[in-house]
Amino acid sequence: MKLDQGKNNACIVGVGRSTISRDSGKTAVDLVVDACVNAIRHAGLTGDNIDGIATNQMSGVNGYQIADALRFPTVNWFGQMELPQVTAAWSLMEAAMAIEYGACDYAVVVMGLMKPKGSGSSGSRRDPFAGSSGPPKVGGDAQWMAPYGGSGFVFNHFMSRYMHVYNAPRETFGHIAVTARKHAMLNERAIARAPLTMEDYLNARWISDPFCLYDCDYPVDGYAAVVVTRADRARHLPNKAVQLVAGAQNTGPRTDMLQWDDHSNMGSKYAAKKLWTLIPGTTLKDIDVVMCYDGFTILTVNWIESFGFCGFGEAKDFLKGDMMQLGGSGIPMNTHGGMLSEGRVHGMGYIAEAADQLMGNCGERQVQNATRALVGQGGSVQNAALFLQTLD
Amino acid sequence: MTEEYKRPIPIPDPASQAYWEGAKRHELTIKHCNDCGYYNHYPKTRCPKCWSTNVGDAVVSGNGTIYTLTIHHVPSAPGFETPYPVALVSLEEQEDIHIMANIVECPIEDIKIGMPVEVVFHDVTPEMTIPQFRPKR
Repeated sequence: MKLDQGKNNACIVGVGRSTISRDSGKTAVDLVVDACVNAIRHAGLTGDNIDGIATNQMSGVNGYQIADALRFPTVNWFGQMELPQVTAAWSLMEAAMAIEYGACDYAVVVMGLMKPKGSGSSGSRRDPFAGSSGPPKVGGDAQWMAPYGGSGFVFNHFMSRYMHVYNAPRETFGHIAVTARKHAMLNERAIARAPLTMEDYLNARWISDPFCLYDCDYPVDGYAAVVVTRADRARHLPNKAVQLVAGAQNTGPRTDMLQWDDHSNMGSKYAAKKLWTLIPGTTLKDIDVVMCYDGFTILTVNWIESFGFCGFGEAKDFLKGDMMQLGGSGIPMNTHGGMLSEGRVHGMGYIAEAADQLMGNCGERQVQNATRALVGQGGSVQNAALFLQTLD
Repeated sequence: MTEEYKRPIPIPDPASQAYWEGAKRHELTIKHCNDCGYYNHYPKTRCPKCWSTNVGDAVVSGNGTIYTLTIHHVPSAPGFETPYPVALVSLEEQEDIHIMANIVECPIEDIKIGMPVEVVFHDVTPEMTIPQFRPKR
């Protein structure tokens, strides 16, 4: 997808979030609408303006529930992605296309996570076998994994292959976790703000080797939302508008996580490559801030290499010292602390942070004069890359 | 096998029935296109490569290589004592076939990516046999 930088170009004009907490005591619908209301008000709009809603199945709430909870007078367009594991960038791109097509004028895009109560350490699902007596029976794709106790994690297979192929040490991934935490300490919303050192990372308990505790993001109750509209309307609104100049979604030759063709990398390499073809003339030198998905640290490393910050397998040398940290070398990454430390807002946190950075809303973690951002989202087979720029 | 088997039991479906029936005979059975020769897994009755429906069930050697390796310290299913290995095995006949396995008959610390392995069959209940892999002998 590539939009002209003309009047039809979709822009983010408002950003909002719910509280981000370990246990909100609220329903998913109540949290989603908190994020939507905050984004709509931030944009200088009211419910009467909103006629489009995009979310996806991972948010646990659908567009009808949001529309009814906020009594939008008429909703002209719903985007409700049903593919498993898709992240917020896909929904944002859907909304941008709907805006450009004229299906709706102002869309709210919302995503996040309601950590299931009583869920295990993964936080993303209830124990599917709880309360069963005798061996549980599993069909569908689970028949190939659950008999081996392998149903919960798949991304660790990507990390083990990457480490094997490129002889990458654990410190490569520790750098991602330490950087996220350093940034989260400047973000009052973040769920995890205690200092984290490389030593802490290397001594952390195993979850699923090669994943230790700090390779895994932090499950929370939390949602984030943005409001999207056309550039000509955006110019009349209070915030500095952030254009979605280009976006690319891509998977790769396989769309099954375990039968994927090359676990030393993932679909990010296809999405990033596609994105660069959409913005000829733009290079990493033009980018002020970058968001790289960190549901697991391996995914961040994949995105860094896919965008071309370094070659494939070179992150072990590239990610040293203060690289990609605020005030450090290179381009600051995940300035909100990512999902590792701000909390797993299922990808929307990166879009919200990128928009906040370009609008200049980030306080002590603000990247000075930031006008262009890259966002890389997703892991394994589902990936989206975005190029955002402030509206001239 | 343990006295009372607690781990999840597969429910065969029309496409996977031959795989699980083969396992019961202690044969690793993979869908195989009679037209283009491509093996496919998880099993589909139409070849994903050439779209032929002339797909049969081929017994493969059961030899492979450990492609990825993880050690679970938090159980993802009942009946597993931590830590336990979960690997993907790449088959000798066609390396893009990845079969999950726990890698048995080998101490965890000795399991490595790239290790040659061979299939073994665990008759876990009177009705069900689960393929596993052990270091190649």
